Amino acid sequence: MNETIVARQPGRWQLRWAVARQEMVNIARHPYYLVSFGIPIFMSLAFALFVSALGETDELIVAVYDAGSSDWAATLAKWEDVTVRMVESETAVHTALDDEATAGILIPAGFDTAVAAGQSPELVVYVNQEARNDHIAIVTRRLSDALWTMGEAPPPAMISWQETNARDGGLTFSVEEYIVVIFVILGICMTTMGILAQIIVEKRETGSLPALLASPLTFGDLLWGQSTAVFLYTMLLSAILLALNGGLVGNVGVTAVSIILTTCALLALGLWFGLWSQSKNQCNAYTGVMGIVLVIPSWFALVPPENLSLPLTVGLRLLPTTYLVELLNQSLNGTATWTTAGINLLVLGMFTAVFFGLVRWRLQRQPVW
Amino acid sequence: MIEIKNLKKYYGENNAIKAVDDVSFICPDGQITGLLGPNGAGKTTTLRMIIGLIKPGAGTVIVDGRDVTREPGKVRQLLGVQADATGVYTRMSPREQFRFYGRFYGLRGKQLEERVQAVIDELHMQDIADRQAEGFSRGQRQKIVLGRALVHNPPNVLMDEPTNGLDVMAVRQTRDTIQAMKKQGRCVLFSTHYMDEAERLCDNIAIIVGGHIVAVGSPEQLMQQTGQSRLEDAFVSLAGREYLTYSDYGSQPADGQALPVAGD
Ligand SMILES: Nc1ncnc2c1ncn2[C@@H]1O[C@H](COP(=O)(O)OP(=O)(O)OP(=O)(O)O)[C@@H](O)[C@H]1O
Ligand SMILES: [Mg+2]
Repeated sequence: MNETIVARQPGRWQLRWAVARQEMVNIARHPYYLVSFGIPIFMSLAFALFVSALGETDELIVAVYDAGSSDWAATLAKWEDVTVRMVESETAVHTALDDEATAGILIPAGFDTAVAAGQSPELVVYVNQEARNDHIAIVTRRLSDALWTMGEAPPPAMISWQETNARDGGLTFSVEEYIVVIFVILGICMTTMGILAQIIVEKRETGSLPALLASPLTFGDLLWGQSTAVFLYTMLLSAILLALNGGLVGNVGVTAVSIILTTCALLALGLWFGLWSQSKNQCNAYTGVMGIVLVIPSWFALVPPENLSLPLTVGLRLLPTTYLVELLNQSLNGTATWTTAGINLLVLGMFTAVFFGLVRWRLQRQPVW
Repeated sequence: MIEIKNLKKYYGENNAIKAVDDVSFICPDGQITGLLGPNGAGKTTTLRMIIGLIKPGAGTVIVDGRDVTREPGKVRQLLGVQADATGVYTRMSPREQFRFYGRFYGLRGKQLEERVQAVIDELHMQDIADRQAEGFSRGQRQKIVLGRALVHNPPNVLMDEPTNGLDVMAVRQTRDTIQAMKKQGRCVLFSTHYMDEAERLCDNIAIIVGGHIVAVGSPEQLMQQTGQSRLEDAFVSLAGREYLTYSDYGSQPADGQALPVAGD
């Protein structure tokens, strides 16, 4: 024929991206898939309402004991979004901290004159480790701002930070962090694996596979594209859940990398169930059970590790989400560094590599198409 | 042009099911070639090997000078394939599906939109082009599948039973489309078991029975060869014995030796 082909062969990544785009539209238009994404968001909103109905205040309280009627204490009282509660003794500060105050400040007698004389007097600040991370961050920032308004060099005062209600370490969380972890894990487990498996089975069930593969698209490209679409949705969902539940605190980098690695591991599981399920129903059953199993580590997030029985500890270690729980615990309370998180990230990476390796191995031995 | 040489595909234990057995024929450009055969004859298997969806057990498929096993990507770029009315995305409109497929062939931007519109016009789909395909009739779904196959303007078009299950009007439209493709100079290969369709449309016919090609030629040649005045009679006389032996209605001999047929 006279007319020649109108375009040249597209590259691998163009093909994969074309599939990803189509699948994102497909997911967005499918009520069931949308609900899967919506449930964790809906639940976290509902939970926030429930908590506020319980009367737990979101007030940021700082208890201040001003021993010598310092003028500087007046600047503290001007802080917006912080309730400064002036108390009458040092013990009252501790009582406030035990109650719900985020921080307690002891202003020594003669503080103003000592600052003016350039003596850098000591200012004791108690930080309640059970308080919300973002609240602690706000207090810290406000306090140093307030100090530096009094003078430049030398430092107007030496802050002596004291931790109170310190946590025992290990898998212990504040309730707020616990909620973030629960919803993020719920979100990843409910969507990533289940939806990827569904859209893979869907292609076979509807018989659209032969037509797709008659084009320059290969089966591998198709799986890449489908995985990419689900990955992007999971990232969006995780970001929303983190934002809604105050999870964008601490070491956000570690939080992000842990979520990405876990998502990849669960994508591999989604491929497995999608490729070797006979029907959508079978695939739903498998991913449903697997999803519940993967959520389990988040239930134990509040239990100190030494309280868990050995079989349970070993069992939990076999689940990638256990490492995500630990990583999120550290990153959200700000104690995570790339070094301390390194081993857990490595383990998550290994889970991902092993899962993808298994899918590849089985696909070679038992071609689906 | 599609050249098929000594194509084979066996299935089952000890390769007992000879789905396609030493099939050779040529489909020239600007002509319509029909692959005619009863159920289970090996039509779909042959077409799938041409596309490279199934690896041939033996033999070669050359499309416009390119070997499908060596350059599957290049060959697919040269082919438009309409397989079945299934596989339509119910949550996408025909226009979106044409775009989706067009991108697989490297079309983008204005060029893509132009080709998509051309296909919509060519298949008379203006009224349904922007509706989600949920609930489309069989004929409408068939058009989507055909449109997806034509969006990249392929020089070779393959169709597996294109008129299967369509009503009279839809059958006519499909046949008109096939003839239009011939006029555009494309090489068209389609499978069917409707004799009148093959007789009316085809320049060449390859009759396949039990995985074997039993005759190749124009409808006139086949009728002349058998002294029959209708293609159906020519088909029966050419395929008759093999048909009874190899079809789903007879038994399939493992060693190529015909079994006695009931009532023989
Ligand atoms: N994957 C397979 N495994 C085993 N046997 C197969 C397979 N695919 C096809 N066959 C057999 O090969 C033969 C040819 O099948 P094919 O689908 O090519 O026939 P067809 O001519 O397209 O028939 P129809 O007109 O019914 O569509 C049949 O006997 C079929 O059972
Ligand atoms: Mg068939």
